[in-house]
Formats: sequence, C-alpha cells, structure tokens
Amino acid sequence: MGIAEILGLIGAAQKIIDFIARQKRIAEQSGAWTAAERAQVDARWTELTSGHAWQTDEEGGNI
Amino acid sequence: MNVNTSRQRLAAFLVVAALLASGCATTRPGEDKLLVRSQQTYETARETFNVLFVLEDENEALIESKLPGTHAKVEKLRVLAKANLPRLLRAIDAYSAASGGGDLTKALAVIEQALREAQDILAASGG
Repeated sequence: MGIAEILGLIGAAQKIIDFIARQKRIAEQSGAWTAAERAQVDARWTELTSGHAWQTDEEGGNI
Repeated sequence: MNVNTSRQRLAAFLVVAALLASGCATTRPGEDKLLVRSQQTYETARETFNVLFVLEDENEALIESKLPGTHAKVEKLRVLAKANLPRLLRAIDAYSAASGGGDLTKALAVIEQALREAQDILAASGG
C-alpha cells in the first residue's frame, strides 16, 4: 500500500464516520421538520452543492 | 487488513446505514407518514450522494482504474441529484402546505431509485 492510498483511505474513513453519524441522526429523527430544521436543509444544500465534488464535468468539476 | 477488505467493510457500513435511515419514519401523533418518510429519504439520499460524489471526486483515477465506467455512472447521478433533489424538496414543501400527494410520490420514487443506484455503486467500489 503506497502513501497515496493510505492518505486516501484515512480521508475516506473520516468521511464515512461523518456520513454514518448523519444517517444515525436522520434515523433517530422523530416527526416532520421544524421550521429551524427546514432552514438547515437549505443551508446544507448550499454547503454541499458549492463544493467541487458536486460539480459535473460540464460545469468544470473535472479540470 | 488489505485495501480491498477495508473498503468492502466501509462500503458495507454505508449501505447498511443508508438502508436503516431510509426505512424508519417515526411520526408524532397526527403527522403524515408519507411526509416524514419523504423528508428522511431526502436527507438520506442527499448525504449518500454527497459521500459518493466526494469519494469519487477525490479518488477518481484509482476508482476508475479498478472499476472502469464508474465516473460516467457517478456523473449521471450528479446531474440527476442536482435536478431532482430540489424537485423533491419543492414537492415536500407543497405537500406539507396543501396535503396534495401526487407530485410528492413521483418525486420520491425518482430519488429512491437514484439512491439505490448510488448504494450499488458504493458497494461495488468495495469489491
């Protein structure tokens, strides 16, 4: 295993941990969104879609 | 632990976590189960797409060398997710405001299918 793969795996592991934590919170959610939660939905969407990973090749995400 | 085994385990966690989240719709008395399920599916799909897109973006060359064609599949999901997650959200808001179900069930079905595709790609990455 080379250094690049090790770094990639470490980076991926933290993302997986974060993902599982979010899924756990979603699964534990009780009931429909409150107004505050609905506002957080918009904020989270803006946060994610402004990132490189969500850019398609056509949008210049694969330079 | 070799790379492939650890990735298989990570991918397995992803699939199980996403399935668990999408299967639970706990409602308070009087709340609409379809609405809550739609909201949970929206959030589960959004986060599943995100982890797939980020992992693929950051490891594109390696993933493509091991699983040719993955980038094209993920690109299709990027386009689909960016068009249809907002569509589902608008349907959720409209349903929540007026209790109409038609658009919501259709929008939900699109995202549920895309979520299954994302989960398949994530599971394949670990193979």
